[in-house]
Amino acid sequence: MTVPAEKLRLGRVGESARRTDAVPKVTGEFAYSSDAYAAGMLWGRTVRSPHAHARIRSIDVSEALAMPGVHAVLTHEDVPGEKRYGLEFRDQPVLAFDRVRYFGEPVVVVAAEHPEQARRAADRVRIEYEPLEPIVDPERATEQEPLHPDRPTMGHGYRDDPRPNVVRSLVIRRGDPDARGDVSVSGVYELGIQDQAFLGPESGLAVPDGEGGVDVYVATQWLHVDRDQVAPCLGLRPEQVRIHLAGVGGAFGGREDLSMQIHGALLALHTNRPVKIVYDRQESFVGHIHRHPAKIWAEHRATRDGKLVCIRVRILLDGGAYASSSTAVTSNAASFACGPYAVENALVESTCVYTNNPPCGAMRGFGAVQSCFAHEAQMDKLAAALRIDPIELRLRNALAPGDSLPTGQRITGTLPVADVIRRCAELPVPEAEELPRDPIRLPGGAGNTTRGEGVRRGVGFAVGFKNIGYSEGFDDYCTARVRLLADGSAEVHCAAAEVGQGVANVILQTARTELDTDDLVLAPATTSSVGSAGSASASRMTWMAAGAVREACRAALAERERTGGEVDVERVYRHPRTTPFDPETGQVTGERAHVAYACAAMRVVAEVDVELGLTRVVWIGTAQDVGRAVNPQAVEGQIEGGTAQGLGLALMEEVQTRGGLITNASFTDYLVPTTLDMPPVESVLVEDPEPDAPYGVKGVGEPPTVVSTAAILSALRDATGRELTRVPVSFDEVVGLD
Amino acid sequence: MLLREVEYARPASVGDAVRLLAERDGARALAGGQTLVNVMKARAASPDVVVDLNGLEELKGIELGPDGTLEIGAMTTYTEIVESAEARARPILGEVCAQIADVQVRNRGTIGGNVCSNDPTNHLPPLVVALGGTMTIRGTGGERTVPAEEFFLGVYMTAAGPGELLTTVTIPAGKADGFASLPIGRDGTCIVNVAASLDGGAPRVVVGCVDAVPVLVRPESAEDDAVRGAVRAAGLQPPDDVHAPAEYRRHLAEVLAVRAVRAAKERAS
Repeated sequence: MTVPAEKLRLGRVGESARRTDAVPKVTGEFAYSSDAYAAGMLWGRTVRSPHAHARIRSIDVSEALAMPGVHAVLTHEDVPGEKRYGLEFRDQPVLAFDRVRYFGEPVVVVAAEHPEQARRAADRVRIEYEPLEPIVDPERATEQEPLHPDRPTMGHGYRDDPRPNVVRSLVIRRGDPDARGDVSVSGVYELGIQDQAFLGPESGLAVPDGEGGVDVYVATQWLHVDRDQVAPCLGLRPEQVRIHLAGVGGAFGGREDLSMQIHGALLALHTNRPVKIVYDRQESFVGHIHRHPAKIWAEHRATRDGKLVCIRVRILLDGGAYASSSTAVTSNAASFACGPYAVENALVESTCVYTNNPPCGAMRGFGAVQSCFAHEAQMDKLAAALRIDPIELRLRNALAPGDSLPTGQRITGTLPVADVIRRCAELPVPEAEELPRDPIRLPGGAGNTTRGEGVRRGVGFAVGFKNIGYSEGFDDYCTARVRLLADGSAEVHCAAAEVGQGVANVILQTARTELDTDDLVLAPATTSSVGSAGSASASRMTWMAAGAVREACRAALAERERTGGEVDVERVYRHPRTTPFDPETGQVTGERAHVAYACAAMRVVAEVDVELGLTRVVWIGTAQDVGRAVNPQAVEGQIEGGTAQGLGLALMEEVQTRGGLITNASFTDYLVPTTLDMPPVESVLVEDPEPDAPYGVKGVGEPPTVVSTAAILSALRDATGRELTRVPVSFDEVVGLD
Repeated sequence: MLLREVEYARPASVGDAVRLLAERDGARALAGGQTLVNVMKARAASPDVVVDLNGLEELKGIELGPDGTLEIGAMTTYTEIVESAEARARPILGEVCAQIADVQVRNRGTIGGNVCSNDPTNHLPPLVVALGGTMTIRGTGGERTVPAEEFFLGVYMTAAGPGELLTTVTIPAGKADGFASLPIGRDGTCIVNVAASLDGGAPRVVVGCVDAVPVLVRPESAEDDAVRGAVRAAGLQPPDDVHAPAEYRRHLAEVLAVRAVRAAKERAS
């Protein structure tokens, strides 16, 4: 018996239409990249460095190659083209040669008939290492031997910092950085390494096309930039490498960098067989970059009535062994270091260094998370010093359109900072629950650690902001292609990666709106049928995809009007142009270095067992500047998910290392929040349409992550009376054992 | 995932099971599989023969004697203990079993597996010691009983040696018990847990996760200060790892001991 599928409620822009991928994801029918299969495929396996820093003396693959079922064992010598790749600088070897710079760095790849044969062969690869002293302290990295003596970071238009191991440094000077106020508060803040912890580990399938080229089916965030990194390493032309989006089990920035793409393609071309590679959880912890750990020194000076006079901030980011997107994280951390506040005088120094710690790059919030944690702690401290209500203090300093940022950029679009603060502050805070209660509703949860003993309640508040889209002069664009067919239906092509954020619905709802029909489909995302969409990151994809699809739809309708037949048009959408920062002063060199901004305010109620250091976040209320919601339910989903990720950083998530080696590469030892940790989130969508964006939309994925870590810590400080300057906050710090 | 080849046996009686375990050095008993299967998957160990106890009805079930003594078969699952009317004679048993991990684990995991694996972070070793339990062990030479406090010998080592099988856990009558634990994650592994019992005179306070075996502490009274002082005097040397420093665990042991004893006192009154 078959049951007719329920017809989807097909929504237009502004409607909470059901997501196309929702049901298959819930029922388990959704095909993730790890489900990819091809007849006759081999299984790839990566041999990785057990050292954080070592010279490679020799690699002997002969024994592995002789193992049963093994078809290929490849080293750097088998990489036919460029030996290195990278998002910004080509500093990362496809397979390590001469030396390894981080724990888990790929050195050899193996392909065999069965995954277990590949695993056993990988164990028989003999690599002789000469361990070297690892650089693990970012504060000392600039005084140590260079990890990249050829200085791949020089000559790209950034400030030329002569110190070794600097990936990028940026100084923003505004007004008089020595200006004094009536009061001054200072603090030093630290953040550990957070992992994206997507549930679908890195995986993909590479299929040789029989003509020297290769098709790669992979979970990624930006298909075309994958292609542009893969092809040169294989010695192929870009069109000989086709990247197809396979089902993505979460990304959060962690799939911006390559994982198995080149390795799989190399093995496939070498064996002339399809090759599948799937990382396990442990491997995933070294298979992608993480959020930069940071140390931030901040000083805030203000008048007696709470007006900010001068902010001085120094930020140190640990980029790990390779640059990835560290340059942009460095400037983002600097751009948002002062928070969404108007201040005339500022000095911000932001530096990212190379070390032998795990490589870091893009993760949801991208530099703004680290800064927000520090500036909001400072604002609370300032409010306490001045005896001003912390929300009132934020309102007195809130940025508004027309104001200038410390970079000299005037806010030309919308940025309703005061509005999100007020709307969030208006949400009623729930009363404390009565005792006794179910232990699951107390700090410590199922452990039944307290029946109310030692429990104190705290309320916290934070505001944060971040850029939308790529910045600093990057040519940021998105392509869409629309076919209008003779039967009246339409087909939309856009290589925007659906990473779980809901961009497929953005594209479909836009196309239905513009073409005024429900009879259309979204073609699979691939480099082979449409131009680049840019990255599903920087909270840009909604804006950019909506812009491109809208233009392509309108052009297609005009074309059909003109020709009367089937049409097939492709259009490229660009957001307003940005320009770089002046490398010496950190000031904008044109109208804007960032295209637009989005802000969010969040209020948190938490309970803390102050004797044990256990916490429970009870309630979260938030108001977010969303421009205009394409799909309000999806926006709320992004707010809740983004908040959960910030809660993870606040309370539990940290990749721990010793001498550069990761010591907790499992979900037993690296904890992520579950439904038991997440409180209800009440969200208010503040719709203030962005003038430069299609339909007035803004990206919504990152602001909740930016602000939630800071807001939760604010609540914990209120409950405990302790400074709590490091996240994730540890039990013993909450208790005050230090 | 392809593991090393293993032999599999599903004995029809406890006698057969004990014989199989005694015959082969590399034989391991499989109860709920919540430890052994994970160890095999991690390739940390690989038995030659897996002796599956799941067909042995004689090892399952809970009996309540006229004097209030509970006889719990080693293959009784956590869920069965949670749902058992008989086990409510000693309510702490069901309460602690309900805290273990998640529904799937509780449906598979057994009391025998929990105590015999003696992972120092397990819930039940400190509890059975605090409650003054007795363990019945069967070998090819017959049956013997061991007090719970002598059962736990080291990490993953108990008095049930090679070729032997724990068959029954006997818990005497009582009710003035408490348990407090600190799990990592809201339903995860404990980093310190404390079981306390006030039945039969001076408190029995047992700290888990801080040493290879549960640490029995006998405070002079059930007053907070006496309990705290006794735990401090025990000179615990807990591990220092990714989850918490040793100093914090020592602090936890004291606070959780006080709270477990308070819970026991409330139940007594």
